Amino acid sequence: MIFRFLSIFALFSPFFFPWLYTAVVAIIASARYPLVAFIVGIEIDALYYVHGVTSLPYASVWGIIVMILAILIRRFTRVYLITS
Amino acid sequence: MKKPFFHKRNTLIRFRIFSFGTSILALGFLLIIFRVTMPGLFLEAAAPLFNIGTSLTTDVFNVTNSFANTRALTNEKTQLLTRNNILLRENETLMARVQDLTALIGTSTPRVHGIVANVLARPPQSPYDTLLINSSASSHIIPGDYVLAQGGTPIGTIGAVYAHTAYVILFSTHNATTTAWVGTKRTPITLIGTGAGMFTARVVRQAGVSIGDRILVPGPGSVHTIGTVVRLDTEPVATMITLRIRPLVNIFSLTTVEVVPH
Repeated sequence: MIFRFLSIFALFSPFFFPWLYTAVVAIIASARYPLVAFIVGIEIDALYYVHGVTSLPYASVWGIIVMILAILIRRFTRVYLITS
Repeated sequence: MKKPFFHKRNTLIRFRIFSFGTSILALGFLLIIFRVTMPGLFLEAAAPLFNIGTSLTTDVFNVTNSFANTRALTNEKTQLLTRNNILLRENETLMARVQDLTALIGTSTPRVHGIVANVLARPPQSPYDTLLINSSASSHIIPGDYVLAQGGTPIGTIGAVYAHTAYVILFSTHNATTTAWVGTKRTPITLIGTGAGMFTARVVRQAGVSIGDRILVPGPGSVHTIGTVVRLDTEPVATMITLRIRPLVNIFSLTTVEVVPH
């Protein structure tokens, strides 16, 4: 329940809070729902990225990286917990 | 003997496809499609949320300020009013000199009138040094127009324009370059944005730049001060020194900007 609340909070926080706080909440929520990091990254770029400001939409790129890391960590912990 | 209890399963309610993770994924795809196909409408739909965020920030600031020491606030207010009066008098003196020189020389630079726009979103909400401002279709804003803060300081240019919103790319955007001059000798430099409203520049050691020197940039109609040198990073054997520049405008608290044609 708490991770669902954090996920919804992360989806709304780009409108209200500094991007760093949004990133922290998204990383915590992605421990349970890895897609949250990717979606929040897309959302931040949809709101604030404009062509020419940087070469890449870095929020989306970092969202994908965090999502992949979250998936790998979740798989590792599940396997470790099952085998132990 | 205790009978086992089997909870009745309603397949309609516990239909697995509507899990929380799937909902988030669907929301993300909808977001991408909406943003790509209708960017103007997307930003227009997001504008009320930005306004709510700005109002909440202001309200929280007012509440926290009400707990501050009243005497300290009164002293600060008195100091600020005194300083404001001094600056107003200096400004009037300078304006009078400009008028005298204009009458003497016989030429004047006409003031370019701009369009005032509200800032919907600014750093640090935005991880990039961009502002989201509101605009109307009748304002005739085009990409490349100058954007000035209050007081006429150039802060950036228009990057993209939509039906009711526009993006401003600030000069302090990471790795963005801007032509400028430094100091009383007007040494030409290239400002390099480092993000979060800050700049750096490199200049030869013999240029004689010191802390406190003003940084000037070309703007609509004249030259404007954009910041001051706050630190000099030098190496013993290097011929160049790095200037750390503090901007005059606090981009984190911009509420209105002025857009002037390029």
